[in-house]
Amino acid sequence: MARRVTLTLGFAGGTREVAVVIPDAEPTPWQWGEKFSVVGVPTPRADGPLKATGRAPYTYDVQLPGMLHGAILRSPYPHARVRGVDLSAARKLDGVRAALDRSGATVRFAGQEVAAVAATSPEIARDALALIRVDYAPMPFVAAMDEAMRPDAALVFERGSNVAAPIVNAVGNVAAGLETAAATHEAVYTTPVQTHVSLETHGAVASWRGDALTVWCSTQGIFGVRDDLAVHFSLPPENVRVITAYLGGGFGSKFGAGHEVIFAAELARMAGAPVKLMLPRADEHLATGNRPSSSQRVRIGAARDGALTAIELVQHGSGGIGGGSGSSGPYLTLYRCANLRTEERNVYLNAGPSSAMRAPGWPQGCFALELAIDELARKLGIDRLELRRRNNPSPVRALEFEIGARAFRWNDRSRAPQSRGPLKRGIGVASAAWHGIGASGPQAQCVALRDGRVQVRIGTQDIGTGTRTIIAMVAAEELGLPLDRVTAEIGDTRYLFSLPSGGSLTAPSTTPAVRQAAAHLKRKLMRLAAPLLGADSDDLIIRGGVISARAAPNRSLTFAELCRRIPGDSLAADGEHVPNYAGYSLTQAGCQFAGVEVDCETGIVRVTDFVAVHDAGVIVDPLTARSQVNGGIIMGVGFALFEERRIDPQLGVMVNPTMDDYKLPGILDTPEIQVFFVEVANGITNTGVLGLGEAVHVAATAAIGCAVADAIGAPVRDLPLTPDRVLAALGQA
Amino acid sequence: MAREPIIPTSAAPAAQFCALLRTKFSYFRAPGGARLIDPASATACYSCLRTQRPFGPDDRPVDAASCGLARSCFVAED
Amino acid sequence: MKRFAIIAPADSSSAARMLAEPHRAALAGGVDLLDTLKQNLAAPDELVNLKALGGLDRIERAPGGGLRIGPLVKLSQLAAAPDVRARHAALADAANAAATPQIRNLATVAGNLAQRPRCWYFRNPDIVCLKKGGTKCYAVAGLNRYHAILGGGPSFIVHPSNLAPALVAYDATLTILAPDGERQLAIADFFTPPTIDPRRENILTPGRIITAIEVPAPLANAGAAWLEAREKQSFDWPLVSVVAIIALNHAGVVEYARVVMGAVAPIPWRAPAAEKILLGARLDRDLATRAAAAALAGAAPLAHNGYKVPIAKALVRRAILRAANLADEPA
Repeated sequence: MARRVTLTLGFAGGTREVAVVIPDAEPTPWQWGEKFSVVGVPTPRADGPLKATGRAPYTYDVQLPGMLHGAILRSPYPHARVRGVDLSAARKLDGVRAALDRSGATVRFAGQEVAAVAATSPEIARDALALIRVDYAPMPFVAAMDEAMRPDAALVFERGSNVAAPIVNAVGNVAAGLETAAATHEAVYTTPVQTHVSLETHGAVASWRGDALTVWCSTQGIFGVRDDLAVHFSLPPENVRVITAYLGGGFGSKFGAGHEVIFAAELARMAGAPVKLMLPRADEHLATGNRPSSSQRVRIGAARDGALTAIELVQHGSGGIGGGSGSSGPYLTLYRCANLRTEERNVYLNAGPSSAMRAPGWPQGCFALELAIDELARKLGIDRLELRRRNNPSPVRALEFEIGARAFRWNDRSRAPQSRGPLKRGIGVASAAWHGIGASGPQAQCVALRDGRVQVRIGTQDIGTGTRTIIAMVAAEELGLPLDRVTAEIGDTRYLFSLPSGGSLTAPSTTPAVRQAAAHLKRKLMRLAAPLLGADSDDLIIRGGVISARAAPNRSLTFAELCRRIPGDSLAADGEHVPNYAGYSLTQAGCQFAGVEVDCETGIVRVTDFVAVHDAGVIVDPLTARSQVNGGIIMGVGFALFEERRIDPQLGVMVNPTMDDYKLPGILDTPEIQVFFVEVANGITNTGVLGLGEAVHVAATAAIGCAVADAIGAPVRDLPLTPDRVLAALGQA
Repeated sequence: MAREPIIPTSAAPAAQFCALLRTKFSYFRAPGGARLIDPASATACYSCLRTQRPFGPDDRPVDAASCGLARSCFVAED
Repeated sequence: MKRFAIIAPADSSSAARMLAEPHRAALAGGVDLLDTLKQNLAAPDELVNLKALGGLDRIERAPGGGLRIGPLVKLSQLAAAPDVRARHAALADAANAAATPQIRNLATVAGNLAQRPRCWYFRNPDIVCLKKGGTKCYAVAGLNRYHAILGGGPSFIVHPSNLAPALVAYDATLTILAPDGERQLAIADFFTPPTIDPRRENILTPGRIITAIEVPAPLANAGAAWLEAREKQSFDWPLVSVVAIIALNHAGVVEYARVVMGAVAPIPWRAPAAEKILLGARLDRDLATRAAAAALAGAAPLAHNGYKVPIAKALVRRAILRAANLADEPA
């Protein structure tokens, strides 16, 4: 059964009535002007104290009786045939309980796994690796894109080319668009390989009992790991249990069962004992994924009034031995333009493989496109923010530009005279976009316990964004309870199915299932309460943990009293995410403003301040939402100024796989950040919550790049914006 | 114009993909139940569950375009 | 990583005797030691725990206003000591800029001087470079953005110590204890350039330990400045650091000058040519600029580290002017 409801949807810039058909079991979607009591209240994350005091049990902390420790041997060569692996000496070492050879015939990057061992201590496991004899026949390798694209280049894959077939998107006619332009700009922009550097490295603890496997795993997707392990070991999925109570970051690199998870399970089966295998930091940089590099040739043109007439991207990018190096997303999305063309080619290198990383392709594309927009604005003599406004297709972003420009004092700062000394200030602005609209599949269970508490059980995991907190908030809101009565139980495949935490879809996909489950539970509880209050269950309301009848508000019952009437141990109800409604909007806008200070004699860039304006539907918890924005910006500072996987051309190995040499921003590198949210009631689900994780990272690097160019009066078109490049742009080095 | 490379909302299983082909969105399903593998994606980073790497047991790169019936190591989905 | 035992010496002499055995290594703060153990740069059977020695963790004022610094003084202790801040501010600043607060609370002064270089080829356990007995310095034709622009060859590491340039500038003297006795030497003689032996950075061959660092009082009218340029502001190594000590007479003429650079060469790099230009001349921005140019005149950058030359020039000029308390106003 379904019902038709008319919703008031939109944002401060305008609302409209939208009619949607929703299933009967489904609560009416939250609308514009909804009055909340829990949702929208800044709430410290539920597990903050546990994390801050070191008591939150991460995979790294799992200790089982008799547990062994695994370690992986990796190839020091970027390309070699493996003629043999001799595990005998390693196997004989006292304390070694299992060893496996996984070399295959060819290694294609320095860091590729060759063998693994499990031993009674991590130290013995590492010693055992040193005893493994591998007979490598090194082969020619390619470590850089220009090298790999030469006709005589060594091939990464013997059959085929180092350059994959292009992926082309086109509308209109770019040549004609450039022809009619009053100003055009063309340049090449490059971005390096960035690694994820999750604070908790990849890894798992695997334990077998018969043909049942339990795995504690540092993963973004417990069900994905479960299913991968079930396929790999030919087990029914219910024989595999995956637990991720706490997760120290993933950023796209922890979908599914990677080699380290499978090795842990294989070694555990061989040894007949649980095995813990957490990767060392270097392995994390070498072998668990990265953001691909890009070299983007951009051609862009605009009419005298600034209207874009053409945008073209021709790019090569490398995902090492992997692919997916495209960056066209922003080109196809951020600005109105009738003539658009993108052409993307992946180039294979003998280097660690790519994986999804926070807004795949977008920070790269946004950096190049937004720098090009700035360079075009200078040619047109139009203020850079104004040029973006004139081509902006999103009414939400129009408001965001306004809010951001005011908070950032764009007009004053863009007219401020430059200092005479070596320290130059600059400002930049960049547009963001995303589609954190969620996906179907998640189911949740809401359970009222006899002691008056409510648990929400759902097989999601918290990638660090505050999932436990917002799930509890949504359930408390729907149940009319104070937040302290509700806890979220997550991170276990014994709970109902949920999706991986990626694609900014955890909040938008889980909260509707949670709200529906809470609504179902509420209905059951009201039926329990009805005879006690002598009222019809449809007439009962619950607010602040007190149930009363609309007609007779002086007769009431507390939630705790009601729960004592539960006939069994608990009362449970399920809910699911139903396919999205048409709603108001399926896209997110956003914009970020950056201020920098550049020492023109040393080339050193300091990011001084940021203003970020974003929309993500209903903001459940402004506090954890703001944390996500901070994180997206700090990560953008790293990509802008410091981070690069550096591969030596002589050896084909990464020279900086350490926290020392792979430079990440620290607290002194972090700017002052002001965050604003534009609430949008979009009605695409019963909560209308959208994801934030990626939208907030898309524009940060670009805004910094634009600000640096503004400060020094010359663009630095290659990331990271290191002193050598800044000085070169200034003609100093 | 905005292409939506993030979550295709309709299932379009034009090709049959190897059951062992993995990429971020292969862990999601369209409303029709098909895995979300988008051959037109320029940002999908593929890997093979058998090798846990972006090449197959046949030592060739894996992706949505090539991991179909024609490949010697192809495994059909249930 | 090889298993090791920790042994405690009874006194300094027995520590020196114990360390004369090549299978042992000295343990003080343990910061770089732990790294080198993990990176297979050292594989001792026994660590001689110098922290067991009493009395080596104090900063004392020497007669005449100098300092006597115990080798086990922590960087955080050095940075905060009022006696150091008062007369040797550049040393305190150098100590305060190193690493992180946590590391500064552990790392010792002697350990800071004796730490191994950070070169990413040297630190990679899979790479056998010249410093590890191999035949090749991979920085020469490789990724050398952080390597030496002065005094390089055959190894192109840069000396990693923040304190070293400051102690060289202040004319510190080290007391070195060896099984055959104790001797004092000027800190400039402590460092070993790669032309003499690319496999080590100083004279601390087995059995030698630093037991004291003495820093004389600077001239009463001298000022000092320590400056560094680094990519990250949190926890990073300098691209270039500079210590300048300048004394002017009443007419603004330089009567004493010391300019020492860090992170530009395999040893702390004093710039006598810059000092010569300064001495006897009236200090202004132009003179400081010319001195800076002279300091870098011999620079021989590799393919990717030429940018360090203009950074070093700017920092030398700024440090000279700041040491003299003169404004760095562009003309």
